Amino acid sequence: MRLTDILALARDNLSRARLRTLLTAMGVAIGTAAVITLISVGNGVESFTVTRAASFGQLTLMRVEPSTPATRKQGGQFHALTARTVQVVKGFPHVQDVYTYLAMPSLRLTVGSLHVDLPAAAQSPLTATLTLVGRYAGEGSDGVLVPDTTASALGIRPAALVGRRVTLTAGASVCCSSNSGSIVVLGADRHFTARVAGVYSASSWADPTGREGKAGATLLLASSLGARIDGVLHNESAAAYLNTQGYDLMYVHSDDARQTSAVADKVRALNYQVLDRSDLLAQVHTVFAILTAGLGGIGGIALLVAGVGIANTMIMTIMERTREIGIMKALGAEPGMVRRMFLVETALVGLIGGLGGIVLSTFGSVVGNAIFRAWLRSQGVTDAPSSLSLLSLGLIAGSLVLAVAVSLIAGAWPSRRAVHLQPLEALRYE
Amino acid sequence: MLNHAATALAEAASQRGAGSAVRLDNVTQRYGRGQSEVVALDRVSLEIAEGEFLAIMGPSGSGKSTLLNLIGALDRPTEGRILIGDRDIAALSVKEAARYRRREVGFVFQSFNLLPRLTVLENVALPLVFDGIAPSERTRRARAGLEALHMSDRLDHLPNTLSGGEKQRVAIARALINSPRLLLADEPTGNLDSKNAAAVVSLLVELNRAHGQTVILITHNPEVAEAAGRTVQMRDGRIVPAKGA
Repeated sequence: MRLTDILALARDNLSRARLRTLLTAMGVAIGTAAVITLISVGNGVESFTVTRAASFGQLTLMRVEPSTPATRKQGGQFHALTARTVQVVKGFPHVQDVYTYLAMPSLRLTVGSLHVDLPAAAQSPLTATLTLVGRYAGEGSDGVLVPDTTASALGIRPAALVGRRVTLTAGASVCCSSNSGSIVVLGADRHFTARVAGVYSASSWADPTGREGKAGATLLLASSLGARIDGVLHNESAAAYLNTQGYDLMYVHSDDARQTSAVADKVRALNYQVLDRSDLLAQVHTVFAILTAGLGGIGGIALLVAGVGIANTMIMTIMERTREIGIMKALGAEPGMVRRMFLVETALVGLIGGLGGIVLSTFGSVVGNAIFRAWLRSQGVTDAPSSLSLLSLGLIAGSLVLAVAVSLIAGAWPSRRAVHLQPLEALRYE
Repeated sequence: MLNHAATALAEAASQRGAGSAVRLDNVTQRYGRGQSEVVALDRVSLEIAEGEFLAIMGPSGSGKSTLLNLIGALDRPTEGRILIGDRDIAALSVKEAARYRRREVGFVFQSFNLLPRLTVLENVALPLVFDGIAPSERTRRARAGLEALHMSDRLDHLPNTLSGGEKQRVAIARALINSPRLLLADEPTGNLDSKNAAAVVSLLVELNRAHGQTVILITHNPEVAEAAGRTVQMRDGRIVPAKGA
């Protein structure tokens, strides 16, 4: 028996009981729409949460250190985080910005006749994560940021300090407080001129290496100035210093939380030690996968009910067509042909219902998202992702397959009766 | 159990070189079990020659229809063999039996058994659908068959719009569409008035005479039976010698 004939027969039989077909398919449509809608909301809320969490920085941030602990332990080559590295990483897709940190020896800050010894560090950008007090004069090539606690210890108002020429001194005479980890400079004092770019709130500073304690009064230098001083202390130019010793630390921000781990892998491939919080993302994903599966399961119950509807309809249909099945069998229809006729029929119902469900849920998704967006605007949220329901091609295709599969399973059992019906018995049926 | 006339006819047929179309060997059909067991056929042996027109008569419940259904492989005997050529159709699988019905048997029923949703043309072509014949070929053959039975002006009608005689002609056209080895008719005139009944009978006779179609017909009507070349009488699941044979 030809497939086109089976399809034509199925179409005729379905259109013969149009209302019944429509109602059965509507059950499937509602079930399919429930599956798609609930899963799309699960996906939408996950995406919303991840993007929101990303805006807090954790999920988009990775910390890069020169070489890896393993290579260091094996006495492997020290692999510096050079200026070139920074340029390469900045060129990677999904990299939003790069922050560098350079460790410094303690420095003596001399302002006019006053001086104070301070731990120091250089970072780029200079003002990263810091809260400034008063005016900011720009980073330049020789800018320093003075902690507000130091300013008040010196007795100078922040406004009076900004823009002033100062002298920085490195050397054995510079005393360094209680920091065991800080760099000790031997030999004669060296002097460097610098310019106060601004005053920052000391409490807003946290040393990323953890060496200087949680927070503290640290003199912060523009990266170029820091490299110059470190270079001089190593008898090198700033550029040469950055190429051999390099930065002590680098932070990379990705522009998309879901891309963080991919970016981290690319940086890792350059043979650096990279720490990222993609494990956090994986955890978020796991939680939402469970949630989404639960939602999908609830939708699946609706689809299951639709399947029961199909089974019921098929039982009625087969009862009504008993005599017809008998005639067909008497005329030489094989059991396999009868089975195919009924399965194609229920698969068509599933297909029609599934397509209806896709239309229904797509419409619902568009309307729902529009309402959600309007609500977000009314709440004054403008930077948030604006989809409550996130549809994907895979979800739609998968649901269609599921709808047809549920219909086939629901139709398979009742159609057994038709398949195994004795032709004589069926012909006698009134 | 064969009566003399039948033997003579069968011999005549075999002399024509046609051989036997159907041979039943000790066919028994029982329904039910234990106390409610009914013996529908009791060790029936019968030979029907190629090109023969056989009428089966007998009271209700004598086993006529059971016999015909077994020959048409609509049912399977409890015991015995039913040979079509050298094949025992009692031993066919369900699928093989279906293929046998659609390729070698044409059924004509008392109640016509046309599919009400299909047109006359589609009804006639239906056995060819199950055989996977292309639509154009199906239509051509069904049209030709209906034309031969003077039904050309009813091709697109639904069965409900036809008279009883027309319905039975459609059913006969359907039974003949696969050029069957056997035409099996179970009281084909039972639901028809005498005029239409006569027309159907003369059609069957013509098929038999002019085309050598083997016909096995069940009837209650002695006039119909007279048209057949041979008549067997059945009673209580057995073939009994015909009176005046």
